[in-house]
Amino acid sequence: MIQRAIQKLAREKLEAKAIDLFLGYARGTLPGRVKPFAAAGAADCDRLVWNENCDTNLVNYLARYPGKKIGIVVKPCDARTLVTLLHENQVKRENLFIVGVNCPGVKTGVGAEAAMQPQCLACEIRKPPIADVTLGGPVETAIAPQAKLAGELWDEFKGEMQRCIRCFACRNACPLCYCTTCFAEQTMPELVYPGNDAAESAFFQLGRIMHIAGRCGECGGCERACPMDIPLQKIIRKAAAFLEETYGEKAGLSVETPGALGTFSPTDNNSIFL
Amino acid sequence: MSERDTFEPKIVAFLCNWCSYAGADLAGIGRFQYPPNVRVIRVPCSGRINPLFILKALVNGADGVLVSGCHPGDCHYLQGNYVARRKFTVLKSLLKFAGAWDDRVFFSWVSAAEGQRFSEVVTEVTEAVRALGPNQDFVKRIPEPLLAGLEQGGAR
Repeated sequence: MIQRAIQKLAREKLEAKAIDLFLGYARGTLPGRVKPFAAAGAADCDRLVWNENCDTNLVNYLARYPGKKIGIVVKPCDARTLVTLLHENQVKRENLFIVGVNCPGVKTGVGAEAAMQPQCLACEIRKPPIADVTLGGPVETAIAPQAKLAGELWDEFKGEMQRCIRCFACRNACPLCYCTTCFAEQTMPELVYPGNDAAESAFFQLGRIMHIAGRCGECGGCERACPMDIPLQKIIRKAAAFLEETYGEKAGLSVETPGALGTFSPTDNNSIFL
Repeated sequence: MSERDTFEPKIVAFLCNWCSYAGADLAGIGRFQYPPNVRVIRVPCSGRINPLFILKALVNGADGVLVSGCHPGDCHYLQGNYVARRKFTVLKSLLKFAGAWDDRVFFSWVSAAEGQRFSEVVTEVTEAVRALGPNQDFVKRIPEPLLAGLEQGGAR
């Protein structure tokens, strides 16, 4: 059982002082919810849980513990964001003990009401690309074809941008948005003004997507964090699909290779140029 | 006269210092006519152009944006325009997907020897934007009091 195995690994590593902390999930305050949990000693390890509601991307919490040796539970999508961070030297591989879990998809809700989260419907990568230990059996990659296709046009984009309250929860939930000063909050020059203007919201969202295109592991954290329920993954998935189709690269699979936008080829597609 | 006849688009042109800006210069020297609708901003390289510059120009009311740099292989910094090409290709596809501004953003390669081509590109872009009409979707609405302050030369 995966939960038992996670607890055992965490306890062993913490007792052996191989790690200072173990990042996992603990039971939340509501049924069907889990919360991120950092086990600091062997006694905490019994509180670690694993179930189909474990959706939060724990990689986002690594930056809170600089210099610490950390054990962390990652799903394949989380592992892809971790690969990007490793490539960008944001975390040190030798400070990490990575417990990967083969993931059949995470769900919202419990029992009969449980629904697969949208990023999981289209997910092709069910095995973590990086891990010290991988738990769980191999998972069949079942793709709902309608979910894989991002479509050609996001019709409601303008309406969604009118609803965006620019709380920046999407950015805060994203492990790849680690800039100490975000372009949305910088003051010299001030790019995003306070207010609820749809144009500025579109500017912020498109600007953010340009920052994470070619790096995103598609964990869906931004969409989960959105208090206005804006389907942000639509455009992120579009960016990822476009990059894969055009440049044949999927983000976050190898620490050695830069993402599609970190490199170039003299023979790239030139069709947008007059 | 209808609005279509009187509408003069404002187009922001980001030109790289080494090719397109020199190309614009040559257009002037060679006396090639082109529409006066472009506002040229000189940047060191097309790789310097942050996608945010393009988006910000449009949010602030530019009717079109033209980005121009050295031909692939001719970059003064060897690979700046290759990096830019990928970046802009993604930007364009995302704008198209969002249905925002995608027909108002133009990219071209113009070398320092192509003064005539520069004038042709500007004419083409201006006519395309003129046909689209003013940029109205996704333009920042400046509140009236702030606008009054701006007109009096106030800050921001």
